[in-house]
Amino acid sequence: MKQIRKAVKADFEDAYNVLKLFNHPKIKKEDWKRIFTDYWEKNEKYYGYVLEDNNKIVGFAGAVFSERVINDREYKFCNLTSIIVRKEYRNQSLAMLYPLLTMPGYTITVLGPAKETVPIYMKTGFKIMNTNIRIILPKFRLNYRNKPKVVFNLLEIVKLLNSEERKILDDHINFNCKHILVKSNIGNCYMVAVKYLRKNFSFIHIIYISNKFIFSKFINNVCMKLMLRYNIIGVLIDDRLTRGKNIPLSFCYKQKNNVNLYKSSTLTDSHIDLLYTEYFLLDHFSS
Amino acid sequence: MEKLIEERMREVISAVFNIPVNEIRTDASSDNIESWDSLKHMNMVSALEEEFLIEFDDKEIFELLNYELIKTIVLEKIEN
Repeated sequence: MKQIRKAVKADFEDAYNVLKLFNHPKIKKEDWKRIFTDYWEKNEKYYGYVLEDNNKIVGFAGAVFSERVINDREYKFCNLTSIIVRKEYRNQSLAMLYPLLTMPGYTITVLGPAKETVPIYMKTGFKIMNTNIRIILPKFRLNYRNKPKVVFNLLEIVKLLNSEERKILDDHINFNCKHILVKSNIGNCYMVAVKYLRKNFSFIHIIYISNKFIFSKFINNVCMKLMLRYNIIGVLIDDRLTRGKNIPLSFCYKQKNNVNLYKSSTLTDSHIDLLYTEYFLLDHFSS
Repeated sequence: MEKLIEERMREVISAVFNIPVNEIRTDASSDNIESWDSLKHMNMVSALEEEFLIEFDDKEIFELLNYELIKTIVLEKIEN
């Protein structure tokens, strides 16, 4: 008998038999297990939905829940991940997704869905997220007047964060990312970034900034410091995060093959970063 | 009127799932039409919207999983 129910921790081994069908060369069993692990504080005590037939899991839709404070308001997020159904049960996949796609009060994200599923999400109110990447080139004329300090030492950073930023740092400390703080006499900007290699070149990709104004004001100083510190050739940032700010000496790169979707009645994509998502759990940054 | 609407509805289902109109029974559903996957489902939703100039909300989109429900919802929409 077929049934759809919430996925619990004990489902992992059975769900893994379905997740294996992804046949992803870089995602191992222990990586998939992270979807069933509580890394972040949340109200929901489940990990998505499973489709069962005669007590055997034949489909899985993962959900990574998180709660964030943005502009002093609390928001609930759900990142849908690892949606897979055995071929013979494909007619049930929508029923399995239904409770997740219609959760009220949530900002729901789907990162890199299969091309053919995009119309399904669009039909249920999802929008395409701007995934353009801004590439910031080094500029040697630095801002010496209000020269900021770029802090890399975690102990020092922790002392300078507000509670919201501290939560982000604590929640991502065990993942493969860098924490950086720009300290200036007009304010601070906390950043989370990942370093990665593409075609033998190293980059830093900034995926969270707490203060657009400080970031754009001191971008040249920050870039130089990051390049020297991490031995990289370029600094990248998700373009939507700097919307409305002029980033000098930079250009936009359109990611043609990467579609991210979101559905929210309260937020726009400029508020949506990749923190608290499968990108961390499945380490997409290095794959 | 109801008969005519049902006829047009059957034609839409037939075209989307690629099955002859006379094979669409009143117990047709995602359980017994083999080609009924999520993508085809959404195609059917869009085709019904176009055919009857109606719009389904999120909840209805996921409810249109069998012949009787499709008929009920479509008729309800047209009447309103």
